[in-house]
Parts: sequence; structure tokens; C-alpha cells
Amino acid sequence: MEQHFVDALKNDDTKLIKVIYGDYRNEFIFFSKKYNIAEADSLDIYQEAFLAIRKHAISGKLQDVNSSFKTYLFGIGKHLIYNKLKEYSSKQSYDLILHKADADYEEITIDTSEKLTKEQELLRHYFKQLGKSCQQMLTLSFYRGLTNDEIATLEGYENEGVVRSQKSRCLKTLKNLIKNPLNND
Amino acid sequence: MTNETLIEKYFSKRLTTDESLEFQKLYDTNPNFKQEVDFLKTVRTVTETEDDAQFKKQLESYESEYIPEEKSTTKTWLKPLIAAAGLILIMFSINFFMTSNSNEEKLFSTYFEPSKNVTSPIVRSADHETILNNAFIAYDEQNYKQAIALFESSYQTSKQSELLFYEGNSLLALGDTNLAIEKFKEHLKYSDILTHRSHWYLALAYLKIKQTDKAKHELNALLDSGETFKKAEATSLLKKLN
Repeated sequence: MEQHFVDALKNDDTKLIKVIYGDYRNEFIFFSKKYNIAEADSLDIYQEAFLAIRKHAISGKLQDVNSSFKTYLFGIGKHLIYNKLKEYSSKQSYDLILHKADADYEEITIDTSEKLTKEQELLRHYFKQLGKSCQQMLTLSFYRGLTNDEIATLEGYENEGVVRSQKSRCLKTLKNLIKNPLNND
Repeated sequence: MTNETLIEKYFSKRLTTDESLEFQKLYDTNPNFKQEVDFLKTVRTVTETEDDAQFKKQLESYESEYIPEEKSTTKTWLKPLIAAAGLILIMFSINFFMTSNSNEEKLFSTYFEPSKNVTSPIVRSADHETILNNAFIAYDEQNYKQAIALFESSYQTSKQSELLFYEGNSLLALGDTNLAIEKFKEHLKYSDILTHRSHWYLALAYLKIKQTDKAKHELNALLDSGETFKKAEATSLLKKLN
């Protein structure tokens, strides 16, 4: 797979992401028309597929993928289209078999993200009360799995020690918010 | 290895096999360790959800640039007007590119981006209602007018020299270039961890008011200071100015 595309997604290179998004957008809408997907739905599906490929880029799943970026993106798209068709068919009779003939792209199955538990929703509520830089710090550390050194370089902090102490301050604040919700709501 | 390092390595997926075993053992036997790790796992899930939501918004924002097909049935009488407007636009842009004066302006907007807040993580809660915290909140939200007033007032009481740096950045972002220059110059009189970075923003401010020589001087000062901040950018900008 094109490594610079994967890197763009991993490193939030918004300029390049925008270009990639635009490059395949119209073709994808055309592709989903073959399956009789409504245009409004096809944009949703395209964005959903884009989000999924980014998650795979971040988690490292794309590292060993041999197909091109586009094939992979459309493969996920196809999976989502099938899901959508199933949804359509539960509302009205719809012959899914008709569409299995298309062999342009191999379907790529993705995990559907699970809904947050109550506890997680609560944490999310307090997380949003943190400042932008704290939110960014925690996202980079825990979701993206960057080391303190990497964060220092990326975000322009003096050194990893500064990152370490800022991160622990952010976590402390978050824990305090959870402990003393009455003062803050 | 401390537990803290072990946890950090766990989340950056860098544990060796031995460390994994040690991690698992601690997780199974030490309730405090388990509690901390479980908390951080929840943080991971939450940050992932939030990050996805942000990215989704970003993608949606791209859509505003695509015009739905139905709307493209423009009224016929509009067409000559559009053509005329296009022609005028082309003439203007030729004019724009021919005047070399705007070169500095272009370089400025290419290189300038207000500094991130690397000084004080902000907290949104009632018991953190300090002026400084509010200043950084306003700054983060690009509400620079308010930020300037708050930084100024916080600086008057605390004399924390780094605040001059953020005030300068806010002024520069608002286009109040001359005042920004004053602030950065004042900041350069002090020595704090952001001092050298002021050379970079001062250079950009000079560039904006077309004082190229002074800009070059500041860029050289930044490079000579041994600071790694914006080093590559400063080098490439310097090349373009020479």
C-alpha cells in the first residue's frame, strides 16, 4: 500500500487527507450507484469507509496489506454497502443476490465499533471539559500510542520530561473531575 | 523498570515478551496497578471515540466544497455575467502576481501559524477560574482579542515573561504587527524556555511589514541559538529571502 497515504492518515496531514478524500469521492459515489444506493447514503458510506481505513492505519493493520489504498478503501466500502442493502431489505423486499456478481473489489470486513458503556460515556463527558492541549495529549498517548519522546517532537514540547509531567497533570485533573462532579457541573 | 514506564510501554505497544509477563503479573496481583490500567484503558476508548468523531467532522467539512448536481442548472442570463466576473478575476490575479511586493505577504502567510500553548494545560472547571487559565482558553479558541487583554493583565501581576510570547502571537494573528514586534522584542530581554522562539515570530512580523533585512537577522539569531524549534522552516525561509 502507498506508505505516504498511510502516514498522512496516521499523522493527521490534513492537506493530503483532503486531497485523497477528493480523489476517490466521485468514483465511489458512482461505484455505489451500481448497487442502487441513494446518493445521500453513499456519501455517508464513503466517509464511514474513510474513517475505518484511518483506524486501520493508526492501529498498524495496513502495514502488511499488499493491495493499493484504493482497493482497500473500496473493499471496506463494499462491506458497508452490503450492510446498507441488508438494512434496505429489512424495510422492503430486496434481492441481495443480484449484486454479488461485482468482482471489481474484494469485500473487506471491518469491526463495527461498540457503543460506549455508561462509565465510558461519563468519562467522555469529563474528558471534554479538559483543555484542548490535554485532550490532544491524552489522545496521542493512549489512542495513538505515541511515546513521550514522540509527543515532545510532534507537539514542540521542550523534552519528554515536560510531556510526562503535563500528562500526569492532565490525568490528575480528569480524575478530580470525576471525583468531584458537583463542583463542576 | 518502574510501573509507570511499564504502563507507558504497554499503551505504546512496546513491551518486550518479558515485560509483558511482568505487566500481566502485576495486573493480576496488584489491585492498584489493575485499577490504574483499567482507568487508562477507558481513557483510550474515550479518546478513540472522540478522535473518530473529530475526524468525521473534518470529512464532513470537505463536503461543503462539493456543489450538489441539482443546483448546477444556472439561469441562462447569469452565464455572460459569470464569464465577465471570471475575466475580471483573472485580470486581478495577474495584477496580483506581477507585483512582487506581495511576495513577503505570501511568505508570511505560508509560514505563520500561532504557537501552540506549550506552557500551561488548560482546565475547564469552576475552580480553575484564574485569569491565566482563561487567557489560554481564549487563545486556544483563537479568540485573540480577549486573550491579549487577559495575558496583559496576568503578566502585570505575575511578571511571567512567557506570557509576552503568547501576547505577541495573538497580536500577530490579529494583524497588529507593530505591537506584536514590541512584545517579542520585550520578551527577548528575558530568558525563559520560549525566548529563542520569539526570534522566529519576530522574523515573520518583520517580513510582514517588508523589513526583510531585520527578518533575516532574526532568523539567523534563531539558528545561532541552537534551538531546534522551526529550524528547518527558518533555514528554508532564509534561502527564499536571499
